[in-house]
Amino acid sequence: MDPFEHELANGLRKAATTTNVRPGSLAKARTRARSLQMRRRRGSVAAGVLALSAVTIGVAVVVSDGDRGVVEVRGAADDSFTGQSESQDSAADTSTSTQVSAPAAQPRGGLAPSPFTWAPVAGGLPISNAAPVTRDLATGALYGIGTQPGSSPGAIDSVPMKSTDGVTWTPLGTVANTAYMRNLSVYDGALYSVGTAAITAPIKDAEDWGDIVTRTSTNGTDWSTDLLPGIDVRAIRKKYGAGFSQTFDVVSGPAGTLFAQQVASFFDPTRFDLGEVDATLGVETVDGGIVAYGAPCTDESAKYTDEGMCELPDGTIVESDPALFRTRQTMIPWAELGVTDEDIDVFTGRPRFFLSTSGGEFVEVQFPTTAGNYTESIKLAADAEGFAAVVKTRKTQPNGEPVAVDAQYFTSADGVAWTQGPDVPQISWLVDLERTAGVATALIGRADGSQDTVSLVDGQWRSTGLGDSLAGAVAAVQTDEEVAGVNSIVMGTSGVAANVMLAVDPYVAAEIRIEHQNYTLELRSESRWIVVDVSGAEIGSPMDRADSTAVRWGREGGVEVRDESGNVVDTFTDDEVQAASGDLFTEPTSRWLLMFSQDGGVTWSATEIDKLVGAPGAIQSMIVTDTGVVVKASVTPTSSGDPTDETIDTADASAPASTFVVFDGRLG
Amino acid sequence: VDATAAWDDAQAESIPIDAIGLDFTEFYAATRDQVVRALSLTLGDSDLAADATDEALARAYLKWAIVSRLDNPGGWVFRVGLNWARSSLRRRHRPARRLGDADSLDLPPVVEPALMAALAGLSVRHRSVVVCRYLLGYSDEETANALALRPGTVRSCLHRALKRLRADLGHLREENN
Repeated sequence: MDPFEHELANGLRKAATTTNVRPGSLAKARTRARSLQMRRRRGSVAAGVLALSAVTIGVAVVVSDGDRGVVEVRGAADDSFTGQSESQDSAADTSTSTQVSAPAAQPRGGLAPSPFTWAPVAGGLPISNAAPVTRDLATGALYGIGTQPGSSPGAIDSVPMKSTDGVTWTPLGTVANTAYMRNLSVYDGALYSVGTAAITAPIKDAEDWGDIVTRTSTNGTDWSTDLLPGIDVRAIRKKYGAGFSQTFDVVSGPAGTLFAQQVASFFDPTRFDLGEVDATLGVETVDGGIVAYGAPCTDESAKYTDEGMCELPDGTIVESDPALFRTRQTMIPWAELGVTDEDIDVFTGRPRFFLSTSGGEFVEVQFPTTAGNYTESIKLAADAEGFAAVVKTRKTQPNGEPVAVDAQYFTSADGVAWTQGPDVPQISWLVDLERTAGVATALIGRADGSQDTVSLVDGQWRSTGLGDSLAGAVAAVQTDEEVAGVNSIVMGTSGVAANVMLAVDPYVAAEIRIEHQNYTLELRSESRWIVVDVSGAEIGSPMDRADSTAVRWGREGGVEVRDESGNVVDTFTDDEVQAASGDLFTEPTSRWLLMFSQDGGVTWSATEIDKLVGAPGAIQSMIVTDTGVVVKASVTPTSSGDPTDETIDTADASAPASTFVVFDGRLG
Repeated sequence: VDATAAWDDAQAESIPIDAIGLDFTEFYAATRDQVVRALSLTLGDSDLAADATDEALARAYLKWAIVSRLDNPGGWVFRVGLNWARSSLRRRHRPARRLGDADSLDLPPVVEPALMAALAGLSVRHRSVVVCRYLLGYSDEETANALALRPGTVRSCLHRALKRLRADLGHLREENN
């Protein structure tokens, strides 16, 4: 730095440190994130359940009268309740998950009394939330992964652990220098875990940063660690500027142990020659290449300025295209970008599969080409007949528009030769896959935010109908203002547990309307403005790309309503909008429920976490055990301990941090 | 909070967002005000900067498993916040406030007014490069990564911005000398 630069830096620091910064709040950041997530999954009536054969047993519902355990829920439990409420029917009518044929006999949504007696677990749980608990079907033992600081700064050791009741966990030794150990698989006395090695991990002679697999066949006494072949994230990062390795799943069975992962990177337009193509607003990987998004200037020769204007070649400054700021899109095929097949594999996240037989080294196996232009998730299952895999991809057309792609189902007897089966339709996200005696069952998420289970029966994937059942039970508990989302579902021998969040969408709760004589501007969920006419019919939204003629952002600000000839017939001004909306973001109120079914999803109990833990709380993880469920919850402290009291801002240094509590729920 | 929770942060891609714990907390505490200040100087609007930073941090929270692995997650938050703020202004058809406007940053008299006036003369892009380079202390490469620009573009922007600033702040240089 020369003296001027030094003074400039000093001046900037002085200006920055004396700027009046509005106080931040970690709690609000988390709430805002939760709101973002909710808006992405908005409008859904919660649905989802896991209906695997192991859980579908008609266990009698027992009402516990233990003095510390029974948790009341809003909407008192009623054995005669059938879930046929008006709101529930309405939700069912709008469901988009009914095209998969469902068994007709499944009752919908009975709400049962809580069967649990709850007891706090001293000392918490030593296992990580991120690594799912794995069950050894032969012995019933549970396995999870804990972590501890490693021997060097920044290093981490993984500690695989074993439990018989989900409460008491015994370490099985330490696997040093692992960074992201997250998947476990157990079969025939051997335990496998897979994840990513720390970049400094002294694994064999390799300096690569890649996926590792560790295994023990001595119940934790001795561990061996292998680096999977051909994966070098460090090289990927160096070549493409970014890169990551993602573990999808690992399973073990009689045919061996199968591991699915991907190494991927983002397409960085600055590292490739795009010629004259404008990529001012970024690029996206699509089917067959990339789409570059250019500046929203009507005249393609114009430059998009930092102020959001368009500068013509002669220097004239004009507004960017007001028609919804539509950007220019240019599709560039891979061939014109000069990329290699290896590059394309990285940009599309080609799935890679590795197989170990008889405890030997992992070798990569060839997997059939999958649909779509980016692999999002893979779930694996193993049974006596071999392996099964569901691959979820996404596909973006060359015009930049996404197109729905059914998840693909594959089977293999030996993990080497794969056969494609019927696609699994209507999956938005993939949660889990099981296969028992050749019958595959997948837990999936739908586009409307609900979850469901589908089984492959007679060559066709069929909904088990249990998603509707959970929706019905949740509908009986939620208020009219609340929307529900299923965060996770866990199954076990004693039943099925669902982690459900109910929240009031602040944008809906605000009920913001600006009424004019002929039109009304309403703020809907997802911060979406809608213009309706006097009959309530939707005219359009300025946020819609599809229809820019009826309603759009005005050239002078505000929202304009136009007739068929393009004449402005009404305008909602910026001042009106600002006056009506004020501070748009308000904290949503939320509460978390543990839904539990002992009868395969016919009836569900609902435990409100706030009341269980005695303060505002959220479910962190659930373990379904032979005797009930173990729940780990985070607790946000309040100023008085009263759960209805205002939450303390945890960004306040004087306030206590969130804590975690664990409760053991015993059936009966 | 133990090490388990800390490492859960980095593995949180498929778990409920509330399972995220210590690492993000530390990151938030270390980053939030710094980014607000940097965006305030870039945008000339401390309220918008705070909103943008909060939005970017919420997005970072949702994607913490990925963001935490970036070389410079603070730079990511700065860029996302900057993009969000500019998009927000575009949606409202409003230009960014100019530094030095009456309703812009309310700075005490210890800050040299000429500096703010000189910064106000720069484009948002040039200002963001200057802020990353001289306030946040990023290298050219780190600035390029944070702003999704080519390093050459950063150097070019910096060259032009400094040329302008040197011209506007010549009297300060003379005083210092």
